Amino acid sequence: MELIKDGKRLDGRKPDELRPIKIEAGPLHRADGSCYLEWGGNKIIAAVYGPKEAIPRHIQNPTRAVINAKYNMASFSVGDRKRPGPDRRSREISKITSEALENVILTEMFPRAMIDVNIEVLDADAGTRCAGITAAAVALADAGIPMEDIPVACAAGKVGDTVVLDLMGEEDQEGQADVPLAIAPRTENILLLQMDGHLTVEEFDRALELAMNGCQQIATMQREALMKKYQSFEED
Amino acid sequence: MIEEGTLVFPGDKVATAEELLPGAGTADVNGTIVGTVMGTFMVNKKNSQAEVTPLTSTPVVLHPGDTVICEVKHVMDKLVLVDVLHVAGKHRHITGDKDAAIPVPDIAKAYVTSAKDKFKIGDMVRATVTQAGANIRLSTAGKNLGVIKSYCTQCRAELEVARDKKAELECPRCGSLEERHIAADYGEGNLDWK
Amino acid sequence: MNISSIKKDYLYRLAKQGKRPDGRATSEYRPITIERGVVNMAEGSAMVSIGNTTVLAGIKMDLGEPYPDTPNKGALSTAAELIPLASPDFESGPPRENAIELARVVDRGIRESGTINLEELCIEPGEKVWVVFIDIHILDYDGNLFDACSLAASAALLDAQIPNERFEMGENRPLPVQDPPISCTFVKYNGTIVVDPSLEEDEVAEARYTVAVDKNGDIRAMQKGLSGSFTVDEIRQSIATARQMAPTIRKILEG
Repeated sequence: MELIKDGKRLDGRKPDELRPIKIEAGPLHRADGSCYLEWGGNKIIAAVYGPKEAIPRHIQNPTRAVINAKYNMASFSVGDRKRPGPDRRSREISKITSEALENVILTEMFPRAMIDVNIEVLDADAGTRCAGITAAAVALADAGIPMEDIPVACAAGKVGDTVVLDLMGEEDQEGQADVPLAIAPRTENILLLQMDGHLTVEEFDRALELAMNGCQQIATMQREALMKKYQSFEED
Repeated sequence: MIEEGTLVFPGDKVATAEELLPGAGTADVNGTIVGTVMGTFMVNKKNSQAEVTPLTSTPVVLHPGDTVICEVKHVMDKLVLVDVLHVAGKHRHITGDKDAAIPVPDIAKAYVTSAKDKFKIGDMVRATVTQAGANIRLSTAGKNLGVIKSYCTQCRAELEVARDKKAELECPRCGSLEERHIAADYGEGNLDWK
Repeated sequence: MNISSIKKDYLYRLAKQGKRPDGRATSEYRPITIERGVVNMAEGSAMVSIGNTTVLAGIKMDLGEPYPDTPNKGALSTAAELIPLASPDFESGPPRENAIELARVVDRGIRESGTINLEELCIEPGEKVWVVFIDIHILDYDGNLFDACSLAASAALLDAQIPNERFEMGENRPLPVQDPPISCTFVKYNGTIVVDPSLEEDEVAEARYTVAVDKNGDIRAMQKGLSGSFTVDEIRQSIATARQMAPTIRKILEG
């Protein structure tokens, strides 16, 4: 498969272009904060509960809140049906997501508490961990959880010998490298960074630059989504 | 410093640490005062503090003046120990300590000799918070405050308001009469009354 | 430990006056919305809301062996996940008995009403058949999961295509589905019976009754749950209510 033709990708995007993204803050009634996110073919929903008393008690930290992110893929969100429940991949993503979010949340304000962040992938098309973190961050802001910044995530990678932003399904499968990145957009501090594939150091620099740039674009959309939900409040 | 009344998001710079101190809804991150919640930026001139008034719902922390629902865990002569379960009008979990105490002088406006005459273990009680923080203190002195649900000490059936005035409550099953400091709406199941 | 005993007092007091916490009449259903084809990766899908309850059902299909007792029929498997996203009371991990009961009641209604023509899903008798997986995700829990899940499963089946292309077996074609059952759930508390319970009503319910009726108003599945009981008359009355309600719900389902 030819992934890049005349400087255009399979879906017609330029190398530095994001897929279409739609973010909605607060669609769920039961959760303390929530977010629905469509990103290319990905559909993600995130919900936040807490802070609340951490249970079981032995996970409590006397000086700060514990962040408990759970990334889960719906059985029908992928090509071949996935068995329900966590596997090694989703456990790893849950762990690094918890750690990335913990960096910006003022956990010391809530000793012995736990903040649950549930991320459900309803439809998957590459880049679900980045989409999950981006949605979780909006859900946290919607829940009024104090944070130093609103985290945002986006991947870059290499396909058809070209460094590109935001890999879609086919590019992810056939591509040469994938670099998911999460940052705190104000400081551009890196909260999550993974890479698999093969890149030269120069290519990595370019990938990082593209992903940073993508993150900043998405950060604006996160704020717009929150603004939209609370616009009526602001006018009052 | 940004203009007062500006809408800010978590991470937005509102001032420098030289200009203002970090107040509610803000934090000092390496010398920069940033908003930590989505809301409206204000300056508390009295304390020279930057503040962000949240537009979102926020974690539920007990504050003096809150009306709460709690369950009685232990009764001594001079003190009732309770577990706070719910803050009236809030639909989120309570954050932080939920163990609280009602000192005997704060049970009722009238003089109470022993708290044991007014509360029993397992009673559900509406109270107001008089002191928050590490040692939470509550008061039940008020018409709408006091026990809103309780169980017979003899047979554990739910007690009802007594039909005659021999006692406050009676047991519909065994007929036992019991004393409590009851709220005006005892038994009506009002969670969010204030 | 919890405040449900206080909520119970409140609902009992309202019930005495013939009222429900959200102001509905005892036989009044909440508004239903159905959005079809929401998941690209699934063979079929539907997002169903009943009031503030929202569930998402997705259909996946795979090739497998038939059950030994039905060698010329496709197989059906239904699962419901009460994921912690939907409610602070749901926990992650393997399905608990509540989720299993829920999935089995949905499965029974669809199976017993012959909604899916399983004979048409046989490829080689005794050897190779289509297996239909219905997976239901609860996204927002405000009561009455039985009806929401049943409706979502039916709507997703109606939306589904057999994925022949993915298995290099020719063109995709619609899953043979017709006349799904309509499920109606009632709960009883303090002697009052209400249809389509909200979360508060589910929480204080002493007994629950679900009945699935077909296009002709015949009964295709039932489930009585929880520790309370119903009188025979109450069951008959509930069936009558369900039969009255089903055509309206069917219209929304078949949209």
